[in-house]
Amino acid sequence: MAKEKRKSLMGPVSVLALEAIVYGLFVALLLVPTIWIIAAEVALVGGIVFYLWRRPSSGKRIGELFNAHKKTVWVGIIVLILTTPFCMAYSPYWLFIIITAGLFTIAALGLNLQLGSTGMVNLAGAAFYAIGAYTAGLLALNWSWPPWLTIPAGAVVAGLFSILLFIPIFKTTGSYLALVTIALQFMVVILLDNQEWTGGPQGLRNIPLFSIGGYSFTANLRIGPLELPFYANFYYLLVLIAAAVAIVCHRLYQSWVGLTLSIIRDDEIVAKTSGVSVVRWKMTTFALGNCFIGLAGAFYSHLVGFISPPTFSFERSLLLASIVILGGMDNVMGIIFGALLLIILPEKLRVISDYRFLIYGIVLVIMLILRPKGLFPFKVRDFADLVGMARKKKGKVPWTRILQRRVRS
Amino acid sequence: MDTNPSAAGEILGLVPVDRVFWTDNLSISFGGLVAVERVNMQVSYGEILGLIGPNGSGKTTFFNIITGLYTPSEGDFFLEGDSLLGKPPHMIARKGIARTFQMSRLCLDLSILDNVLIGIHYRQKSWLLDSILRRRRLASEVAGVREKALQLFRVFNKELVDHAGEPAGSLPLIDRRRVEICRAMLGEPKLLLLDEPSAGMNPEEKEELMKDIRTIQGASNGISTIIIEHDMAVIKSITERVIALNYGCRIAEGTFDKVSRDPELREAYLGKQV
Repeated sequence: MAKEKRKSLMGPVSVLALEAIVYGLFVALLLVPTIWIIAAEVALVGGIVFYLWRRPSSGKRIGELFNAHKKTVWVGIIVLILTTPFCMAYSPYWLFIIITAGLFTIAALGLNLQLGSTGMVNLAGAAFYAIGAYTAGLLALNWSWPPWLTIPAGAVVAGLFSILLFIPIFKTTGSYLALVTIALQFMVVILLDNQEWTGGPQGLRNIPLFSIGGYSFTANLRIGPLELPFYANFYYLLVLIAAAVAIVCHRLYQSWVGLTLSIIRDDEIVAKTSGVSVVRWKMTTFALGNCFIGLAGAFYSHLVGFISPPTFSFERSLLLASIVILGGMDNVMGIIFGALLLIILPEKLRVISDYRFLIYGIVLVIMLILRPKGLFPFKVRDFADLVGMARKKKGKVPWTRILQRRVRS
Repeated sequence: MDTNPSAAGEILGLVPVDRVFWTDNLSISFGGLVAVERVNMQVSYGEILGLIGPNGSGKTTFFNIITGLYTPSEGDFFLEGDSLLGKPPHMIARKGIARTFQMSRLCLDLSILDNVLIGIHYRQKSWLLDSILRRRRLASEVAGVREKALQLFRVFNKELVDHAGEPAGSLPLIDRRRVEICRAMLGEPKLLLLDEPSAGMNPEEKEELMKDIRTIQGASNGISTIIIEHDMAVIKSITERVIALNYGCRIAEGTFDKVSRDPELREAYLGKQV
């Protein structure tokens, strides 16, 4: 009896332990101040990957373990995400970097809808990021809208703009589409640079930082006896938004929408002859994806309080696209990892400033050679979860029926 | 010479009048090249019509016109009395014309099931908001449609049912064709266009494929079908009526036996007798 109980505990405990180890590596990577930690961790992770590659059975066993204890896995992940500000209590700088990675996760998830799911190469990501940021900034400065309103407004305006900008692009595909979006990117930045109402090259200054109902996010966060840097406020809010966006993206992937987009990406002719209105769906994903990018941009302007055109340069668009390509096309998990990696790595390499981008570039090339389809490649869609849900539903009495019964009796 | 042989046939009572699909002087030219020239034809309910002709005679172009991928330069075509001229491909598909392709067009990275489910795209009811907020509604819809697709698989090849979640790239050629036919059938079209379904198959596979096509006919209460084929054995065994094209013109029509004796067709395939 006791033995069985111990055995049933073993699974969840080892899942949590594994998660804690991975998380520990991640935190150590950030907080240990020497550059050699990267080499040490790369060697360690490389060794583990090599081991799993040579002995696939143990990798499979880990996979099975995680599948068997899905709830524990998620509880562990949520707890670890929530504890991050405590680990970073004395290094707000890294907390800020993680927040930036979170912003890029949201934006990259938006771009993924276009680039990964539908196959539309959009290299104007930073432009829509800028549209979101400037919308929020201008609304807050000129009409003193509260941040909880300007952030959604930034998303909506970015979405509306993309519907307008869709007109010149809907007939182009592939490389031509990429060229048109590059032009868009430059147009937006040049406009921002030259208009008076956007502040020109000086940009917008003194945008109020996020606050809600009188609670200012610039005060240090106190939890009991602990005092966390004020970035912890932003961190928790951002985690909330990013989680919502990730859930939306995952649900879209696991639905008719995701299926339709995949078919458009892989074979437009098949999509058309199966009754898919390709133009309508392309416009929908273009607008929705840019909404998410705009959302991230709007949040950014209330996080930093200052925005100017160079922040939204073409490089940022390329960075976004690299996150999607390197993380894994059409894979929400992959995007999150890609964003963390591509934002944190260059910051970590800042110490050796002269060789920073050289090493960064080498790492990218090596990774694309080893995993040409990204860290987490596209997974075959499996509707089993949904079908299981439908089966369960049949057994359950809907709550409306229960209400009716009560009313009757 | 009679420019509209099918109209003449109708008067003589040779062609059935309860037609589901017909064309009226359908033509298309690319620059100076006339690929399809004033073709008149019709398909009656439940009929399997064979479309034959040498390479480059405009058969696939004809399919591309009636699925809306090309716009005809002249003429019109009708499904159940409605003109489909100028309608975009997805609208034509929604009206009920489904097709397969000469070169198998499956999305090889997607699962077999995904490839088939797109066939019923426009009948789905849960879109953006439902898939985010009302998962239960989406779930019951997915379960229903999936069951329907699996039923089609059972008709063709029971093995497909077990492998439905695997990437389509793992399938052999004959199963890829079958999956493509399932995709076209899932939306319950009124007219099914099969573009050289037996291309690249060995005789046994062709035999199986013919059996499959007859099975569909049985399962769907006789769906109207146009089939392009180079293999005359296939044509002979499953079609009731054959139309032959050459250089985009209709050169012969009738039962296979009659058409195969047609001197003009023999010349088109084999060259002039010396």
